[in-house]
Amino acid sequence: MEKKKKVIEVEINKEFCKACSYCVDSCPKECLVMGEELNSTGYNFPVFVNQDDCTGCGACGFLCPDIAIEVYEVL
Amino acid sequence: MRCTNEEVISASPLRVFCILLLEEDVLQREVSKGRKMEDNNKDLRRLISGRPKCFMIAGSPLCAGCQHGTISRIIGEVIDDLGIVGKTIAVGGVGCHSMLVMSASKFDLTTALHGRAPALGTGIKRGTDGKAIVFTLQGDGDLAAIGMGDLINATVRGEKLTTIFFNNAGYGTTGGQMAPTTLIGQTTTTTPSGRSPDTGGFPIHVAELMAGLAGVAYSARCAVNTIAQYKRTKKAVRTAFQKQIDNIGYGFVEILSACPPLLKMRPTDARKWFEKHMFAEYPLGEFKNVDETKIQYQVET
Repeated sequence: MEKKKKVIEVEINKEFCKACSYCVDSCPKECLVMGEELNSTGYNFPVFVNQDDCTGCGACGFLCPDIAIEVYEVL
Repeated sequence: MRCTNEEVISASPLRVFCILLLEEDVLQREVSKGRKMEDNNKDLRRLISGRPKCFMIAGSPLCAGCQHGTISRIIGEVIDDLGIVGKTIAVGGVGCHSMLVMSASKFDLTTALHGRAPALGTGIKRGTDGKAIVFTLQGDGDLAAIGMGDLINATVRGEKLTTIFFNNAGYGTTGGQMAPTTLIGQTTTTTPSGRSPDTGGFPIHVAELMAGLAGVAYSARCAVNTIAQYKRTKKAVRTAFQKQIDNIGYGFVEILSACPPLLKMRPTDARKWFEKHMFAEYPLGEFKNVDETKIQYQVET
């Protein structure tokens, strides 16, 4: 029987982000990269690029000091 | 009972009563609508990590890369898990450490004078007959420098409080001066050539100090650099709250938190610096975890 793959959604609130890049550092699968675009306060924020490799460990959301990342599992 | 508008206007003695009933009706409808929306969202997706329920949607006032935000979130998650939002009162000290909790939390909170949070917490705890769950948020300048006497005396009095100690090895709010927890050789604005033991003294280990006091039921030192450390910290904060809820004794958790502006480094470099130097001076772990406070000697009458 084939195991059903988890579908993970990572929501990044770009206005709360301060570009510390702890999320990019902590991701074991390198699913997040720092983007080029700037938010209203002048910080560049991370972008979720690799949805297929994401295991939904939630490390980026837990370690974000500004509570800007929310990780959801689609049921 | 149902009331039409005409009835409300004509029957003046019943007016207030009817309005109350109407409002209650409307309120209940709104609450049930909200609950239904929550249930629908619950069916679609499950939150793995994100904002705790007891935190409002608000931006953090802290600097980029300051780990105080992560620790504040751990406190929020623990309060959610224990289901004590309605009866928790936080007492914040003076400094950066309480800023996110002050600006975003939904539970009750107050600010004490510099270093006097355990004294104010004592007043709240005793004034509510021990029903309120009181915890203090304190930084290293607040707790280890000016408020050391208050903390020690709160444990000596046998208070059942919880203290979360944010250790970032310096005064962050006022521009990076030396604190009692600053490492030997660390450069700050008041020690430009590094802290020297001859003039600056030695760093204080508060978690070990608290473990030696009889009134303390739980004392631990944690960090939030990796996800494993995050989970251990959450468990420690939960245990410290549980000791107060079970009425055993004082719960104390010291959490190391990187301060990039103090070190004048990028956030990721500051975190690495902390792993290299702070963990060597301040070992992580549990120093005390007892189920009842021990009496050394008792005079028999």
